[in-house]
Amino acid sequence: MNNFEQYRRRFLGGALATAGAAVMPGLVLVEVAHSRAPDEPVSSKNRWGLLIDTTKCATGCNECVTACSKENGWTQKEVYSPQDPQWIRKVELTHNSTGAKHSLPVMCQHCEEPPCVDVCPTGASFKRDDGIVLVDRHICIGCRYCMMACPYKARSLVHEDLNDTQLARMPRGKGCVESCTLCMHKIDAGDNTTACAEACPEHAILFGDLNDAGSEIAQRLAGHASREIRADLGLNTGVRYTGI
Amino acid sequence: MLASWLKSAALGALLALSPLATAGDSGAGVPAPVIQKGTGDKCVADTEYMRRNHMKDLKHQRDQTMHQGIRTKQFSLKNCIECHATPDASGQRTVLGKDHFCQSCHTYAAVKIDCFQCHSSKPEGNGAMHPIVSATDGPGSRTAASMRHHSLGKSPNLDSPISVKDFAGVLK
Repeated sequence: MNNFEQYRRRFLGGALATAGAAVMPGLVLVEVAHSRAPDEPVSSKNRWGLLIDTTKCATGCNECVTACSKENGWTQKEVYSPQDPQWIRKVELTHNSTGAKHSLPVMCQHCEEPPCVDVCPTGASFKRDDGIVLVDRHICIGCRYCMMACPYKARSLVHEDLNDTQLARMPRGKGCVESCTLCMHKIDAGDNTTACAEACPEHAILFGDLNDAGSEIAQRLAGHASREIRADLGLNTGVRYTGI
Repeated sequence: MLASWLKSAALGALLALSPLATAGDSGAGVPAPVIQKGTGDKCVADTEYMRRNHMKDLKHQRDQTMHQGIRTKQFSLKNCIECHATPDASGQRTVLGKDHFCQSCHTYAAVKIDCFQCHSSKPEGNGAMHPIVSATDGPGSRTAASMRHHSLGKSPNLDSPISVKDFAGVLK
């Protein structure tokens, strides 16, 4: 490469950089919905949540529970015992006077003001900036105070050795409390869905960003009546229900 | 004279036959760790850096992933396992076993880790290709100093000797 060639390249490089700087400041040419980069921390710009349509949720169907178990590597036994792990369960409701029946899945409600976080003595229970309530198992001592504090009975303790049956995507361990993570590994990967929402044959579970006014979940919440379970506690849950 | 020479010769012979002297390379009775080569061309940082700092990088990444959802691959435990898992007796790729790279070196260094009480010891992929490092470029070509800056941000120089200043107000 001769001197002139070198000079030409330097000049062109400089010119391009100047042009780039002139376009960039404060100006976004096209707003594209993009997923977070792997090195970008979660932020409170998002608040992930679920909207569950109990009018679609079928009695006796267990697909969401099975999908969660498969996705996260916890096992369901034929007959549930209180010591089994349980991240999501189906609840059947009957109205006392009318006899109307409802079936709905209940999991961690990802409260804005989570009681489990309030009571945790070690700081293992925490809320991520994007609203997901989690247990940091590196810090959890298995005291189960959070299980007592949770009004939704959403958490469980791993009582037995797992003998290396965990999945690479979801570490779990004996002596730690665990619960629904809102499939945070899928959210972090930009999948924008959860295993239960994907698996529901009736599309009764809708995952989305409550803070994004344009998202389907936010629009449905704005357009239709929805309820929180135990709204009287004022926890502002991320999981909402319609039809109950 | 002859008797004392005989005595020392016998002692020498005994020493030569004793298990201590025949223990092998280390000579201290602790077997040297078994270093098995991982899949891929090179590690995510140079060996000297990884030997000293892998635990700090893993722990730093652990908290970032857990609390901030940062899932860069370079120092993720999952990524370590992808490359460093080797087949056990049954052919299953794993990072456990007393002759495995991790455990064998930790035994040598008298360190007990509990990562795999919760984390899976088996890789998710098939390990056919190194996920992030290629032979030509990649972070493996960086120097230890630049890596440290990259991974630990503003934390103090870990290689510098500890000075009294570091403990100001703590030890008094």
